[in-house]
Amino acid sequence: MDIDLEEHQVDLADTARRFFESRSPISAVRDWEASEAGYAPEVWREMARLGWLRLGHPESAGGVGGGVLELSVIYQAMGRTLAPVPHLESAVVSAGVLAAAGTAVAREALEQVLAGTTIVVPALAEDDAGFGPDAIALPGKLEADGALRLDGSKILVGYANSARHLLVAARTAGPSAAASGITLALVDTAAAGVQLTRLPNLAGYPLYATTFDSVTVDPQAVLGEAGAGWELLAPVLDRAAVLRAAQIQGAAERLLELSVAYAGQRTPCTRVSPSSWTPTCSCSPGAAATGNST
Amino acid sequence: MVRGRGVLGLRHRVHPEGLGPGWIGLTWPREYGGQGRPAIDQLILSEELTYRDAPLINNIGWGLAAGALLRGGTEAQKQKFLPPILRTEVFWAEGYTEPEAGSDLASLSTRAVRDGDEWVVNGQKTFTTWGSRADMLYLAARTDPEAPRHRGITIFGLPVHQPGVSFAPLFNLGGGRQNHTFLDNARVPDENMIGQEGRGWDLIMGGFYGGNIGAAYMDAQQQLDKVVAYSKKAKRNGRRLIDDPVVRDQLAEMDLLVQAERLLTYESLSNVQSRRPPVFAGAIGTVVNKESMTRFAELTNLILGPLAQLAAGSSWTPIDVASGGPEAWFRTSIRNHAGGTPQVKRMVLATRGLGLPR
Repeated sequence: MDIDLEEHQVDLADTARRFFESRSPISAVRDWEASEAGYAPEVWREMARLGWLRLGHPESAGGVGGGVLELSVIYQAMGRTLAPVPHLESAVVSAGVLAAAGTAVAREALEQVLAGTTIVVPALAEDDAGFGPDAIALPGKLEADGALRLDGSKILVGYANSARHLLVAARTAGPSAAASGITLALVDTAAAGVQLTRLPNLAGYPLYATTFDSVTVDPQAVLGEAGAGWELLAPVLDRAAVLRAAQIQGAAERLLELSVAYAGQRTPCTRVSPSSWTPTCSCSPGAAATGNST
Repeated sequence: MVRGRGVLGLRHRVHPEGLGPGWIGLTWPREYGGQGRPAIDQLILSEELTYRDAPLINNIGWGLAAGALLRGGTEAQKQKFLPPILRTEVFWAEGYTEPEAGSDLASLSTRAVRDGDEWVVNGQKTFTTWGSRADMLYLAARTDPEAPRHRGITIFGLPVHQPGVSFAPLFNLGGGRQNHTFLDNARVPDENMIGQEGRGWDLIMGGFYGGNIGAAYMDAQQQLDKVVAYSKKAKRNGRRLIDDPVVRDQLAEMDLLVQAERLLTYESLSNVQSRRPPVFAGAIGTVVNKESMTRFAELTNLILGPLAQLAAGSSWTPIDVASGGPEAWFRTSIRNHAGGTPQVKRMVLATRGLGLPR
């Protein structure tokens, strides 16, 4: 297996690194984390203009081709600056499922997601925060007309406050641990009975609990075949895991660089004087450029 | 020795501005307002207070400063300084660490120069706990730059409320405030010199390795108890966490870490009571505590899983522990340095404990 980057991938890596270093400095990241939205809408729009939301999806689905390797170099660059954007949630996981579902509603939503005009985020984890199909227990009742009724909660939903739709995985049939019996649906975040609750966390990441109180989803918004949702989800989650790892690797690489630079210039701790004192302690290694990776 | 958990029911009795009546100075001699009780009483109280997240208001006062005063202070100093500490009227801040002298404290460079019956102090301290709230600074300063570096240091009780002393806030990852402390021709009367001139290092070492027996492991005990309670309640993969052999193994390891620290502390106490040199065991306990903390935090997060990232305050937060929980990750990085890093303590073990050459 050859995993060396080709020339166009090296170029993409350089572009991505320069892009995030200039658009997403750590001071801006801190401001975005503290903001209501919790992400960087300008950076997101520019990423859309660069076609980076279409990356990794085939042209037949409205994408621009490319694969995990192209996405990885972008994720490494994102990780280096901790750029808070809902790319993994919207442009990888949700877009991947929408592309695979192929229904009319899915195709329409997919084009908006790839254009960056709509954000769709997956709502998968529940109380036990497990990752597998056995962790999907949210009761979904399929009505006679094909509509889906949801009652229950999802947690650890990233960027839910900025999303137009949630990609919800519900259990509509079968024993609670089975991969079959899981149904996916697009749920409007503004629909009656949907409630979002912010979950404070260690990383300043805009995580939400989403609660569904007798929420009825149109039959058209059910994605793929009822009960076969995990087949759509599983390959996309595998890809997402690789990209998250690339993002963490980028953050770790940057942390190493900062640590080496700090060790090279440090006398035990930089002195400050009352007049020049600033809130960012110069004694904190990496205080200027690191944070909590998610 | 029993754990003594729950015996005192302290939660409702902790004074909002400090410890309850009679709980400071438990082991001090009666003539200074203490109760003259044995060190074991102090440890039992420390266990209870730590387990219940009692606020350790003015701990630099009743811990560090009072310890040094009792060991090296004059009779007049004891009479003057100890009673206000007992009544939580006078707050003390710690003035050891400097920008270029942390774990290697003996390289401190804050200078005190005699001027008649006063000393004039210039320099900078940092990570000053309680600084901005303090009335007095428990200060280590260099009085003889020509002497070998351990021999030129003197301890003072420096009044904070004077023009030559200023603070700038330093917020740490644990959510607490420490300070940069600037000493610019600050003045301290000669009568506030604690111990002999140039012999401050002995007091410093006595404070670290002598009578100050804390019960940091009760933070861990509290966290372990909550993780166990959570594991009995929460389900993953269709079964309770406590029934998962991997989780049980992790919980057992956490308990081992807590018990090892507890027993080393008891050994330390026993050394103090029987007047055996406490240096060796004290340093082992510190190393074990500091090195266990990261592992303890890691095990907690492994058991709690992705929910470990949630901060206190939501109904999905798995455990709510003021002194630990998810923030334990951050706290380990702070506590690793407080009082000297484990690497420095290992050096003490090697030289003082095992008699190895420097």
